[in-house]
Amino acid sequence: MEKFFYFRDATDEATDLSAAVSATVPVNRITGITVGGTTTINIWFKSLKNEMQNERAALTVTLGKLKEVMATLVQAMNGGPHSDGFVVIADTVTTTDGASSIQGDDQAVSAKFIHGDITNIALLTY
Amino acid sequence: MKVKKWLYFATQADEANLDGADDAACLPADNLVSISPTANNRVTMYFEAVGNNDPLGAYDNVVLETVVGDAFEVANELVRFINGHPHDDGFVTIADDVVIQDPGDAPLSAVYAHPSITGVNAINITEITTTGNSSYENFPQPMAVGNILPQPANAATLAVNSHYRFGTGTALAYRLPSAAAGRAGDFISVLYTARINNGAAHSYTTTTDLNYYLGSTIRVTPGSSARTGFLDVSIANDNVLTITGLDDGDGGIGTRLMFRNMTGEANGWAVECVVEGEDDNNAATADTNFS
Repeated sequence: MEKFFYFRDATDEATDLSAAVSATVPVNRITGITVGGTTTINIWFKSLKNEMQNERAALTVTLGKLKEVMATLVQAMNGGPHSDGFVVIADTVTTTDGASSIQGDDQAVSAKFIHGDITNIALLTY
Repeated sequence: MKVKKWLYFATQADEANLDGADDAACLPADNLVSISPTANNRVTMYFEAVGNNDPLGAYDNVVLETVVGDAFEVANELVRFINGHPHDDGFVTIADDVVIQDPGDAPLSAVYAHPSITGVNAINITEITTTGNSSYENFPQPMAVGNILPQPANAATLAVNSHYRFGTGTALAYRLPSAAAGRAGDFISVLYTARINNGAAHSYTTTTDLNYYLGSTIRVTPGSSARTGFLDVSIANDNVLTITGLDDGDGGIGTRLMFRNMTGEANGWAVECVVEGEDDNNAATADTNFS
């Protein structure tokens, strides 16, 4: 089963309008996980449009937890063989959108992170 | 399901200094290209590039410090780790130099996958974080061929990814669009099919950029007598390229410019301009330059 990582960096679902806001990426397109700062991890993946430069999701993590979060990401790639393969790594949406949507309009929901030491995300697709 | 192995490296003694891709990285074993010694005490692992999707781009690499004479054993052990432990979670620490925890400064033990690995010498990962992107359709194009656009009116902004043929000798001033508004790989080419009139200036000014990509060139081909070759190389704040027509001198038929957006960022427009001579081709170049 192919795993897919999901990233979203909007707080209001109403602004989820492009690949710059959310993306679902097959893990076999991930080229590396690097440190971007003492509290930043970059997940790099092949360009969504096959351009010359790859793209990334930058996770904000707790100081001192870089390696632990990296290990969790790898576990998520390899674990849960009986899941549906869709893995939410970081989703910062806290307000839903769409009166006829499954979750309703302007409902408060919790942000989701695969690890408790991930606190935010910036999706850097172009 | 096959477990995908990911190899972890860290090259700082103090966890507080893990602040960049050259300090720590977790790379997929599937992207490992080769393992080879690069000194009698170093083994280098090459990986497909993390940040670069260019098929001809350089590979990233991690250089391990090893016991002298143990390159073979280290390579063997690395492969064993990549292929072994099929029931683990896939996260494999190959070399972790961290011995001071942060925060807290508690002591830690460095971790190495084999006793002959003694440290990480370097993690060489090229991160490309600009917003510009090249696309394959924008690879270098032949000069002024294909879909030729008509010459625009004076003071117009030239369109990217366009070829022009200019046949007007009177003074003209064109503009280039913002480099940041476009993409790396964008181009504009101009080929002169008529000479520029004596004393008439044709200028190309970047719209919002402060200068052309540094090192852009104007090359005047040599003729006879006083017309020697001339080369002007752009420097900071050069955002205007001017070709001034001159009898027996600059601005002859065949003069051509190729603009190329190198970065997709501000000041990204590079230009290669070749100025042909007119008529007798024996007058020294004048007033053709960057400014």
